[in-house]
Amino acid sequence: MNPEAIKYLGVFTTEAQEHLDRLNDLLIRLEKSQAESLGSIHEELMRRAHSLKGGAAMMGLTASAQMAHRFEDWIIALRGLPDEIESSLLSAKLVDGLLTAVDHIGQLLQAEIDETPQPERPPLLERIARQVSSAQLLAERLTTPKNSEEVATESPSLAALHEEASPPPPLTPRFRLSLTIEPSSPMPALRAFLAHKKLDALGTILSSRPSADELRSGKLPGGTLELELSADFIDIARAIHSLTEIAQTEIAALDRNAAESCPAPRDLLAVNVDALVAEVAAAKNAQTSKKPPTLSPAAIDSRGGKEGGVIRGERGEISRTLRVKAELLDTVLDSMGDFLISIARMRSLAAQTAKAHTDDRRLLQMFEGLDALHIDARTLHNQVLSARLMPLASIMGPITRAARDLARTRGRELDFSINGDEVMLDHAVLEVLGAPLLHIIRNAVDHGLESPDERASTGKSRTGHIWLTARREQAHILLRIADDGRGMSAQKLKEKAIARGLISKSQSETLSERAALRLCFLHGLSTAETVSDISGRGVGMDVVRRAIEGIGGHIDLASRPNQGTTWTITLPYTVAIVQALFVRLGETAFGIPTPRIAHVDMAAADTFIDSHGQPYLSWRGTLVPVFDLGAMLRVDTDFWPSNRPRPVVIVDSGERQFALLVDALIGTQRSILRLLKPPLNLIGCLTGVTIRTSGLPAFILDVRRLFSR
Amino acid sequence: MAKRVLIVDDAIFMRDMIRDIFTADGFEVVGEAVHGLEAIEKYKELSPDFVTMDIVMPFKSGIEATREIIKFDPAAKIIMCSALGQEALVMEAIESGASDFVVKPFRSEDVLAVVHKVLGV
Repeated sequence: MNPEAIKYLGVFTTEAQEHLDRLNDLLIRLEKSQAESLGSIHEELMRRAHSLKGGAAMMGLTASAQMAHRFEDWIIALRGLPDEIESSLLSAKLVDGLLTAVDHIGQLLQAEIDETPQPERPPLLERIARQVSSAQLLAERLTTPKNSEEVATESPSLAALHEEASPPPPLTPRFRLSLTIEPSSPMPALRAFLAHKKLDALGTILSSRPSADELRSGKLPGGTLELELSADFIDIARAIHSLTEIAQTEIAALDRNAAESCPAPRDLLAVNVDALVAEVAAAKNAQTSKKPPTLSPAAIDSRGGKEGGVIRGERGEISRTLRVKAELLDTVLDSMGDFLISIARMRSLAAQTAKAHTDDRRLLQMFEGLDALHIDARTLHNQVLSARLMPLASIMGPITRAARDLARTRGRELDFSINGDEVMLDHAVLEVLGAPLLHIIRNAVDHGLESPDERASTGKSRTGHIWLTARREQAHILLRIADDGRGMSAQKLKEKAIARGLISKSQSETLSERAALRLCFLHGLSTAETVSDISGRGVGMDVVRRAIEGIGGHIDLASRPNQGTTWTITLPYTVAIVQALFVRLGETAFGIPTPRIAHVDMAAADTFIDSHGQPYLSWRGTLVPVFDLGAMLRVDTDFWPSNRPRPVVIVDSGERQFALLVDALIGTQRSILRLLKPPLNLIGCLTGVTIRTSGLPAFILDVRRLFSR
Repeated sequence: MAKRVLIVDDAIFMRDMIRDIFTADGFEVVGEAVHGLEAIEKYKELSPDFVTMDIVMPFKSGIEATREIIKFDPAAKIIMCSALGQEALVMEAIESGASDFVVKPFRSEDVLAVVHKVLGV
């Protein structure tokens, strides 16, 4: 790796991961797309691959950059193919290979960054190269007029694409370009070298006469540079127009794709670049041309942002973005919470004082000032919350890919449609949501959907459907995952639950159908008929439910045998995050917010100093009063002999320190805080409740109020 | 708005000449530097639209200055002012990121043609 680039590694890897996810996504769309939308997918695939290549090269990750370059070449080649050949290639499982290539780029990046041995090149990649090459050969034969009779016999050749043979032909779009430098130029070879350098930045120079090295040493026989290059026509034209001392040029297409933008040899100096660009844009807007010459990745990149970047919206608006570490946003949100609480306290104190001293106008003004501050703080808090929001789409890429791959290995025909994935969720929610969502969707593919034959025999379409819809409903986001598969039987679930001893027979009789379906959330119960390596081991849905409840959400299901299953997940739109140390008191866990914790230690009761019946602990030269947290909360605790050291948490209430005796320290965890609803909110010493990783709830203590009485 | 240029050359008469060429054509000469080190400082301070850069100068050569300016601003547009016999140096400058070059002795229209091409105006 390039040592100077190490400081950019964080930004690079984040961005690279985004590119890889998006490439996955685009390839899956490519496979499903109709001919008219292929162009825009190609363009983004190329642009992403190009950025990935450029980034990896900058970082000195050469193997990854090369692989990305090959990938880009394949896409360029694909773009150059006539639609019928491309769709034939796509149906010949080309996308499998391309997905493997994306995976391989990811593995190479990882290996190069970690400086571990590089993974072996997957054999599938050789097949892509062969498939793409034969397709190109075929395409060229189809477009050469003298061979027009062959068009009639194209089917066998199309079929040949599914085979794996023939030699690799060159890449597309390819042009031959000759440049003649003005005889009056004082440094003709250098002028040609500059042209070579500018053209090289646009795409790939396939051959050069004289070579770049010969130009470097001043050789330019006849004042003419002859090149074969693969780049966009407009880019080439633009580059030529940015040079001086060029006497004459001639550009000619070397393949069919190039011929689209340059049907006959011409002098680029006579081409009006602005008019050409406008023409291409118009053609694109009208979508009259099937595959208009597109702006090359290089051109797009040069307009795109450098760091953080520029997001182009649907209508072309540009909004600047900046990358911020997620942890920073967590901390900001934490602090905002404390800030709001402090303001609320001051406000209520000021209100009381103002009421008691109505004659003092200054108190009233202070109260009004605090009121304004309170409103500003709330606005700020909302802005922080919205800064943390990300679209659901940001986690859907790998899920879509997994669903597709699983459907393929299980021999299912799957149509997975996603609607509303632009809804925004807090990143803390999204972080957790991915795994449960993936689990539900894999389950649906693996156990929900039947094989095409089985579906056909029950009168269903051979293709199974999974629909994911998301929408915002007031303060919640509603996610629905539905399939039209075999559904679940409430009766079967009951029988299984009884067989596993999870419920009794009499209990099962009183269960409603809805409650019976919810049995699937019990640990150790799965509806799968066969155990596969994916799911069906009876672990899963309980974990899914726990994860969703842990982020303040709720999951439910409805199912009809032979009609399918619908999972409904409600999620909070925004969240409050709390980092807390969880402690055990007897059977119960409580959380103490870590910002309030000054120190954690072990101390035996017989080392405490007693003063008027109040024990004190000596800590950093001061005496800190010791309290039994269990006694304060009226919770039963373990028995501790006075000579046995027990865990003690020294907290800071803001003005003073206190030592709290507990039974055990469980550990710290960052979790989502849910505020208490009446009547629990009347208990002053609790801030809220959170679900721990074990799935059990735990109250979070409000340390300041614990001692305010 | 007039495009802003920074002129870098250790010879007073060259600076004067280049300044006159640009001023007559409506450019704004925002600064002049007499060696490479000053060129880098002035570039950072003034962020001009383009730079004309002499190659052989005291303290830091035009090539070193080009390299550092490009490192600071990869989009910087730097036009090398070279002399016959300096082909290898110009080559180095181009490989370091210079946008184009002119060869002394030059006519004002040579310089302006290159500048217009480089700026795309």
